[in-house]
Parts: sequence; structure tokens; C-alpha cells
Amino acid sequence: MIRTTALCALGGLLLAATSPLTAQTTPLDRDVDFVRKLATELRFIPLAQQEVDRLQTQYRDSKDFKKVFQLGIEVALVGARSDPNREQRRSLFRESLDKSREFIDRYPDDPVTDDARRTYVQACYEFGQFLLDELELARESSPDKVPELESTAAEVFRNAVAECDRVIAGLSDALYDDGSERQSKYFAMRLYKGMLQRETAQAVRADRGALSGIARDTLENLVFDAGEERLIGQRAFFEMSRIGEVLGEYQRAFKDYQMTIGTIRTALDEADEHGVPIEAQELMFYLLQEASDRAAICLFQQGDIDGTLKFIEGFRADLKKYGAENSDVFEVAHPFYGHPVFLTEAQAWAESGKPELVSKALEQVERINQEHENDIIGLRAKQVLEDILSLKADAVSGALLFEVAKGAYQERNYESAIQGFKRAYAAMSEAERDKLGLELWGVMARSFALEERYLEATLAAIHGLESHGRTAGGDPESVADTMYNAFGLYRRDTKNEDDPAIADLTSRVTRLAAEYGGEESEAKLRWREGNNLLNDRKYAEAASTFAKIPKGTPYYEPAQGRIVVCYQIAEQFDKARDTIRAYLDWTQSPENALPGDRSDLKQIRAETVATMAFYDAYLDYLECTGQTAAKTTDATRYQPTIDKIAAFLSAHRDDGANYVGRAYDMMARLYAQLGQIQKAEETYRTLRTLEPNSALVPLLATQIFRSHYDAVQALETEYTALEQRGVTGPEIDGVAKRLEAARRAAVASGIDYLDNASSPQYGVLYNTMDIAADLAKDDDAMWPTVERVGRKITELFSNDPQEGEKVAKFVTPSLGEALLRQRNFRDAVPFLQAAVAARPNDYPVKRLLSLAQGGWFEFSKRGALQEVVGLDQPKEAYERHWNEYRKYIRFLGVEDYSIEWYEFYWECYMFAHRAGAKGDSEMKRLAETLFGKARSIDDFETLRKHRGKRGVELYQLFTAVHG
Amino acid sequence: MKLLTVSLTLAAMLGVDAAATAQSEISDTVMTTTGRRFRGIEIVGLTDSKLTYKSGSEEKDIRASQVAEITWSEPPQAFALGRAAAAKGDFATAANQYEEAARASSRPVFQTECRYLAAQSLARGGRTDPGRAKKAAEELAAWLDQNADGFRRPDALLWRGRALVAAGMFAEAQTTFEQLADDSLSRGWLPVWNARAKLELAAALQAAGNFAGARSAYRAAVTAVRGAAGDDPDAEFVQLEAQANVGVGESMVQEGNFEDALKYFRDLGSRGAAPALRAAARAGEGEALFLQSQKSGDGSALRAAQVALAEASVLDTTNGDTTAKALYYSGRVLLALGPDRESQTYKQRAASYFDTVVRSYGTSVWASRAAEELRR
Repeated sequence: MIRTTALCALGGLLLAATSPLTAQTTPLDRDVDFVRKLATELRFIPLAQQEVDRLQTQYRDSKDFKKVFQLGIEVALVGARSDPNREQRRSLFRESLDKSREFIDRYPDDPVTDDARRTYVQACYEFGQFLLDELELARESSPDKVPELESTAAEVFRNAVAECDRVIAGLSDALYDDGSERQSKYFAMRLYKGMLQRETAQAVRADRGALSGIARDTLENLVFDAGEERLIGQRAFFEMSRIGEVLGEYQRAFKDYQMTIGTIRTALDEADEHGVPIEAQELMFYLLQEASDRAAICLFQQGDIDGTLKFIEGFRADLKKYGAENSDVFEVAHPFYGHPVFLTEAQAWAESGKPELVSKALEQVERINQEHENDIIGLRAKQVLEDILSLKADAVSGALLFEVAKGAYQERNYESAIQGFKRAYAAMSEAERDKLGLELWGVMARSFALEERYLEATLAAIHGLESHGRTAGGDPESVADTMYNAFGLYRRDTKNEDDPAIADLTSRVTRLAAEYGGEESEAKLRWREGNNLLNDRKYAEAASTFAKIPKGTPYYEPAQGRIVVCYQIAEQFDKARDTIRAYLDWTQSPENALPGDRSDLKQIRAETVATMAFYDAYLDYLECTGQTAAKTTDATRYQPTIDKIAAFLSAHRDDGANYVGRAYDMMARLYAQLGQIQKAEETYRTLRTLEPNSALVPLLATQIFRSHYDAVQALETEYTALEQRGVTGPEIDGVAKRLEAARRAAVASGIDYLDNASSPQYGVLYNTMDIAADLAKDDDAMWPTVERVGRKITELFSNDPQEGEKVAKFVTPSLGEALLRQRNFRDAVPFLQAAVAARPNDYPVKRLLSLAQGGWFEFSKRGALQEVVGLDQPKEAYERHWNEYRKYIRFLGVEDYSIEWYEFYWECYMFAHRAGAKGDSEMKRLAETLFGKARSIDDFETLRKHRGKRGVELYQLFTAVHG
Repeated sequence: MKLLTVSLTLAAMLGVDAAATAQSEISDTVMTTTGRRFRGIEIVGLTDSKLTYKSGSEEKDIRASQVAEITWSEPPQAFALGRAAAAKGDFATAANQYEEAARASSRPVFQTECRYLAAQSLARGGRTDPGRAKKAAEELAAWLDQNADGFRRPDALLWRGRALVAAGMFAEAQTTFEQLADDSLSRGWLPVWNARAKLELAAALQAAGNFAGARSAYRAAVTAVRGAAGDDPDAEFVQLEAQANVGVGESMVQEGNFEDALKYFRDLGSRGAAPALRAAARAGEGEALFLQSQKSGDGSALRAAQVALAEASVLDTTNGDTTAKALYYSGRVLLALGPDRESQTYKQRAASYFDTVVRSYGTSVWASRAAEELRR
């Protein structure tokens, strides 16, 4: 279930606590206060950001710079919260988090830093909510990502709790300072601490009980200290009630919520009597709705449909009583705290099984969906809608199914949209088809085209026009244009081949274009001609043709975009930039303003402006990454180019939807070039979420992995250099720690690649396996990963003419070892045998084979001697070890009584001992001889005193086994 | 600001802790075919006739034929891993994970379900590997022996039959499908099982090379589907009928009788008023043209195949097997057209088709074939 983040009231609670000093003595303080209000109260985010930029320039060299910098972070956080796009929101939260962290680390003791800490805590809380949502989704769709997400979410929350503690410590003297601003800040931080602890319990299932207890203590103490009559106390009460939900104790949670609701009702009933300010009453009313939302969910989760519906009836009564009696309760309810209750109501109706309630449910969900098109509640509404439709499709009108499918289209989930459109059309009545049929086929055609399936796009548009070209609804000319453009691109892909099947299609397209394509104006003809020339790679001619399209026609502005495309491909970047500048200047002049009622022209302009913004960034990207004839890179331009791409995404992602994927791809690659691998990876994940089937995804995944791999290589080199110099202590330990982290990140990236690439490359998989094997030397938990990747490589490449040999030589041994280390001897031995057959001189692999066959001895964590039987073939193991592996030892020049020598003798001894224990007297005798040789004349003194920790271990093994 | 004092009793709230009713830790959810959901229940019994659950202290039943979906309460992580692996077409991993999930749970009903899913995954993964298919058939037989009245009995019989076909054990496959048809009648299962059994029987005959027999069986399957569907067939019946009709043509294709197959599909498409049938006929036509081209080495009909398959994909309102097949062959046609006749992105476009089949039509037979193409 998607979490509804408590935006306004909670944010208000905290940010109210961070409101500026009551004595605003300086102009800057007044400016800061003004900008803060612009963002938080009026939601004029771009304007607030502009003001921040102005202040940052103005105060750049002053001691107040930090105050302005911190303001910028706050505004960014508010902006993040308001961004309608989920992926963008996540990136912006992460950015706020990073900037806050940077600020705190740079100015730990500055007075302004407390504000930064508060902002950081908020950003952590809200970013954490995203991670929890992703975690819930991952539990179903990508469970192998769950441990990493759990760990990341927990880390975010824990870091925030640590900052809470720092602020709380600094404000602890405000506990009894009733009514003071410091006390408000102090209590707000304690509230956040409790909430963060609770969310940590939500993230880490295994420790849920213990972590919930800690959260409960924190919040209980706050309620006691703040007083249950105060809003902060009530809030803490409510947040504590939510712990029941975290633990799955819905009955308990429901009772707690009911108490909160009861308290608030009483408070509101007596508000006038006690002179409660209107603002406080309003916040209580919001809290009542929030608590009602959680309470309804608890009842619903318990399966109590009747109880849920009855409860919500009471909620409706509350809205009338405390909101507005004669208004539509939907309008009275708060959009974020109240509307979700109606969603739960709709779910309860749908699950009642009563057909009349199902229709009611659908109408209600659809209303919520329309109110919340771009936010989390809309997302939840769409999920509820899909849930209802998955089984009750026959209860739903085609028109409604069409709306749902359009939702998938807007989210760029085109295959799902196409399926939805087809389903919707099948369900439509004749009247619905007359009204919506053409529009449906038109948008289906566009969906196919966006998936680069141009033939299907053409056919869908043809079908739409042939069936509904003359009916009342839809825009035949627009569908005809889609058909014509799609067919042109299909012809380009077919290399304009002559074929009877294509000829047949051509005549249908020509006929329908003539019938429905509108006036064949000069502009339209030039537009088509220009596109044909562009498809035929005649860029100069195409640009020239587009340039002839007259102003004042619907094709003029898109043609300017195409001119830029032509110049870009022809690497005439100056001309491209001139065109961009000229066009944007042209749009600014008053005589080129568009009439207010021409939304179609406004859309065209918005899309063209988006195109210009994208290409402006794209040209920079190509130049600074050396992808032009000059082939020179310029690292100083990477960050400015990233900023430009970010600006495009921020301002034009909806109108420039076609370029969004490429924008993220470019951004990720630039981050990778800058060595900011985490940001690169996050950007990659955003791209993958938005466009999972894009060809860019696997290519970018490869690049990301390479960045990780390079980082690992660099750290390995550094570590080796320190080792060779004999460096010990914190310096080398620090590098070792970073190396381990880099390896883990590389493996995670490689696994992600493996899961998502349709044709994984051998190199990436092999390196992933290799790095995982390095980690596995110190962490047995990595062996399953080594096995998994090894098996995948074997499955994909063992019969590959190019890579097959490498698999046998380099992958099979690792796979065999991974199986061996997981005690899967039966599976390990065939791989190890195959590895030996491929490389008969691979003695380390022969050793592994001996271990798999012969077993070994080891100590448990409690120090008890354990016998690992392997395949219980110790004699065969001994013979290989003594007759073959010994050659290798000699070849390496191992000195007698060195640790390597002792290791060898120990292994031979243990095989011989085990064989002897099975009744082989010869092996028993050999075992004694080997023991004697190892013990030598000094009774193992060399081993136990002069061969370090491993020497002691071997000594203990010898003596424990021998007795 | 000073707020009013209310008689909130925190102590009372804390007192609720002790008084709160102890809740069962298990909270399964069952969704029925009417859309009704039963939440917060504990499933204690699952047979082919009923699902028994506990809600509070009461024990109740739901008819098995009304159960559409079960969501298990906090299953072991291996269960989710198994499901995710199956969705990606990695059936070997899915089978291992389901087995692991069975081991990790102490609930007998859940263990039984996991063991069925493990065996089913083997069957799904073995559709192009006779050795694996045989093993899958054995595992499913073992499951059937241990769960004679199991909830998944019809599914297990279906998948066992399919595995036997893939293993080339046609006689045993026919026996299994006949048993499925008989059981569906004698045990009171939903009529659709009889229809499915008939369809699979026809497919088994086709796989055994008995094409004339297969065509008769497909026609019998059409009758069975229409009989089961009644006057207002839902999407699955529409799809089954289309499959059975198409099966007649596919048997001709497999026989190498391409001209007859093409004539049949064109005729079916023209007389088939239902869009699903029209789409299925076009997909059949596209497949026939492609396979004919492959056999003869003459690529002149590839464009016609491409157009037929694209049209099938556009028109198939059931979003089922027809679309999956059309997408699969669309990818193959692109590869066959090659760099001489297609722009340089042809491989990427083909891969995109295969990828769509795997991701969006994972339960269809075409998914494993598409996965195979991607590996290639």
C-alpha cells in the first residue's frame, strides 16, 4: 500500500518551529522569511528558487552566505515535495539530503547548522518514505533487491536519528521553557526521532519488534513531557498509534486511533469555550482526518468490510460537523488526509461482492483519480482501480477502461496501455465507440509509435479511421497525421522496399490520408517533405525545406525543432545554437504571443520549447564528451551540462517526454565521468523505472558497472601499493574498508545488470563474478552470488564460439568453488572435474576437487571440532594431493616448515586420517607418518609460535584430530 | 499557544496494550471470482472442492471454483523470489526457490502449494527441453499421488500433460488430458477445465504427428468451449475458442501443408466476426507465411507475414496467446529480413519484441521461446 506522506501538517509543524527569529533585525532576515513563505505557504517554488539565486549572488562573499545557502536547501526540499513526478521527487529529495549533509559537515558548529539539521531530518524522513514504498514494491516484484533497500532505508533513518539526538542535546534546556520557540523546536525534533525510529522498524522486518519498542518509548515520553492536551502531544499520540500497524496489530492500532479521534472530537467541541485559535482547530481537523484514514485501513486490513463502511459513515458525519454541513464531503475533506479515506471506502465497496456497490466504488475511485492525477494518492487510486478491474472487468464501462489505459500511457507504460486500449475497445458499447473509438485508436497508434513499432502504429490508425473516421468524436486529421508519420518511419525501416504487402498498405494510407488528412496546405506538404528528407539522411536539404515553412502555420514551430535536429546530426552546432536562440527570442516577443483559446498551439509551442531546451543540453553533452569530429573531451563542462539537463527535466519533462530517457542517460553518464557513481546509479535507476524497455537501459547499465569496476581497480592498486610498502594501521585499514564497499557496490551493479539486460555481456558478468569471489574470501554469504552469476554465464556462454573456452577455463572453477564453499559437493565435483579437464595444470582447482571429495576438519564458532565429510572419498583426495598437488608446492618453491608447507601437510594428513578411519590400514599408517613429519623434532613449536594466527589454528587442528 | 485541556487518558490508552485481543499471526487474503476479498483469515484446508479458513474462532468454507487468488500471509522470502524468477522466465530458479519456500514454512497448506508451484515451474521451463520436461512430469505425478484431492489437482494434471507432450510421451499425455476431462465432470470442477482438456488433447495429437486426429480434436474442442461458455462467454472462453480454431490451421502448417493452412486462416479471418478470432487467424496466417518462407528459403512472403502479424497484434482484444505469438514471430521475421532488407536497428527491434513477450506474456508458451531467442 502506498504511503501517504503527511505533508502539510507535519512539515508545518517542523518548519513552523524553524520560522525565523521574532526580532527580524536585518533586511536579510526579512528576505529569508519572505522567501520561506513564498515556498511553504504560497507554493511559488520557481519564484522562491529565483529569489534564493538572487540572494546567493548578493551575499556570496558575506558572512551571511550560510544562512542563504541553508534557505536554498529548504526551498529545494519544499520544491521536491511539490514535484508531481515521483522519480523526480526522489532525485530532488536525495539532492536536498546530500546538500544538507554537506552543509552540516562543513559548518558543524555554526548557529545556522541547526536549521540545516532540521532540514536534513525532514529530507531523511521523506526520502525514507520513498525507500519504504520501493521496498514494498520490491517484496513483490524484485525480492532480491529487498536486503539492499532495507539496509539503505535503515541507514537513512538511523543517520537522521543521530542528527535528531544532536539537536535535542543542544536544546534540552528548553524542556520547561513553556511556550518558547526553542521548546517547540525541541519537541518537534523528539517527535521526528520517534517517527524515524518507527519507520526503521517498518524497514527492517527482522528487528521490527525491538525497534518498535524503542520508537514507542520515545513517543510515550514525548506525550508525557509535552502534555496530551497540546497539539504536539496529540501528534505524538497519533504517531505512536501507528506502531500497531507496523507490527501488523491492526486491532490494537484501530483502538488507539479511535482514542485519538475521540480526543480531537472533544477538543473541537470545546474549542470555542477554551479559546482555541482557528489555526490550531484547522490542524486538529486535519489530524482527525489523518487518524480516520489509518483507522479505516486497519479495519479494512482485518477484513471487516461492514465495520469499515460503518466507520467511514462516522467520518462523513465528522466532515459535516467540523467542516461544512451543507457541502459535498469530498470537497470538505482535505485532499491528502481525507480523500484516502474515500479510497478505502471504495475498496470496501468493491470487495463487498455486491454489484451495485462495485459501480459506486469505480465512480468514487475515478473521481479521486481525476483530482489527484499526478500525486501519490492518484497512484494509489490507479492501483485500486486496477485491482477492481482485474476481476470485475465486465462491470466496467469501456469508457472507464479507456481512462485507465490512458493513465498507463501517461506513465509511459506503453505495452500496458496498449493492452488496456484493446480491452477498453472490446468493452465499449456502440455509443461509446462512436464517441471515443477514433480517439482510442489514435492514442493506441501513438503508443505503438513510441515503442518504435511503426507498422502496428500505422495499422492501428488505419483501423481507427476506417471504423470511426466519420463518427462524431475524435480528430480524424490528427489520427491521419499519426498514421502518415508512422508509415513514413516504417518505410524508412524497410529501406523503402517494394513489396506487394507494402504496396497494399501504401494505397490504404494514401486513401485515408487524402480523405482525412485535412487541407494539403503548403506548410503541411513541406513538413512531410522535410521529414522524408530527414529520414533519407539529406540533412541540409531537410533543414532548407523546414525553413521554408511559413510562420503562422501549426508546422512552423515544430519545423524549427527539426532544423536544430538536422544541424545537430550534420554537426553544425553553431547553426543549431543560433536556431535555438533565434526561436526562443522569437517566442518572447509580444507579437508572437499565442491567443488564449488556442490550447493546441500552446501545446505545440511547449513541445518545441522543450525540444530546444533538450537540444541545447544535448549539443553541450556531445561536445564535452568528445562525440564530435573534434573528439576532445572537456571535463570542466560536465557539471554545467548536468545542470542544463536537470533544468530541462525540471521545466520540460512533460512536454519533452520523448527526450526524458535520453536526458537521464546523458546525466548518468556524466555523473559516472565525474566519479559520482552513486548519483550515476540513481539516475540510471530512474531511467530504468521510467523506460524499462528502452535500449538505453542495458547500455547504461554496462557503463555504470564499468565505473564501479574502475573504482574497484583503482582501490586495489592503492591497497597493493600500501601493502608493498609495509604500511599498517588506519591508513591501510581505511583503504581496505573503501575497497570492500566498492566491491559490494560493483557486485550489486552487476546483479542489477544481470537481472535487466536482455543480452548480457560476458565481460560484465565475469567481472561481477570475479569481484564477488574476492568478497567471498572473507564473507561466505557472497558464495551464492558467485554461484548465481557463474551459472548464468555457463547457461549463456558455455556453447558460445567466442566465449565458450573462457567459460571452461575461468568460470567453471569459480562456480565449482562456490558450490564447494556452500557444501554442495555433489554439484561442485562435476564442475571442478570439468575445470581440471579444461586446464590440467590448474593445481589450485585440483586442490578444491580434493577438498570436495575428501572433506576436511574445522572448528565451529564455539570451538568444537567438526568434520565435513564432502563426498567421503578421502583416499582419492589424498592420492591426488600427494601425487599431483605436491608438484605444485614444489614448483612454487615452498620452504619446509613455512605456513604453506604446514597447510599442505595438514590437508594430506586429514585426508589420510579420514581414509584410515574408514578401515584402510595403509592410509592409517600414512597418516601417522604425515603427523610425525609435521610435528617434527620441535613438537609443532615452529607452527604454534612462529607462524602467526593461522599457525596456531593448524596446530589446534592437528592435535584435535590426532588426539 | 495554550491549548485546551482535554480528558485524554494516556493511561487508559496504555491500558489498551494489555487488554488488546490477541490476534492470529496469520493473515491470508482470498479473492473470489466475484471480486470479493476475504482478509485477515487463516487458510487451514485446500482441496479441489473447497477452501477452508479460520476467521477468529469460526471455521468456514469457500467453494474452490470461486477462488480466484490467494495472497499468503508473510510467506518466506524464497516464495517472492520464486515468483519473481518465474516472471522473468527463469523457471529453474523459480522451482528451487519454491522448494526452499516449502522447506522454510511450517504450514502444510502452504508447503503443498509451494511444491505444486515448484513442479509447475519445472514444467514451464521444460517446454523446449525433453529431459527437463520428463522430470517435470515425474514431479507433477508425485505431487498428484500425494495430493489426490488437492486444490491444484486440475492445474497439475494440465501441466503434467503439457510436460509429457514436451517430453515426447504422447500416449501418456493423452491419458492425462482424458483424465483431466473426466475429473472435471465427475468432481464438479468448472466446465472450462473440460474445454481446456479437449484443447490440450488436440495439441498433444498434433505434437505426436497425428494431424488429422488433431484437427478432429480441435473441432471437438470448439464445441466443448462453446458448450461451456454459454451465451455470454468471458475473455478466456473467447481465447480458447480462437485457439482451437487456430489449432486446425496450425496442424496444417506443422504438416507442411502451407497452402491449405493459408487458405484456412484467410477463410477463418473473413468469416470470423469476433475480433479475437480475426486476430488469431491473422496471427496464424503470419506464422504460416513465415514458416513457409523458412522452409523454402524464399523470403518473398516475409513482408506479408510481417503485416499479418502486426495486424494480429493490433486487433487481439484478449491480449493473450495471439498477441504473444504475433510478437514472437514479428521478432523472428525481423531477424529473417536481416540487414539487407531492414534498417540497422533490426536486431534491437527484434530483441524488443522478444523482451515484450517475456515480460508481458510470461505465462504463454511463447515466452520460453522468446527467452530462447534472447539468449541466442
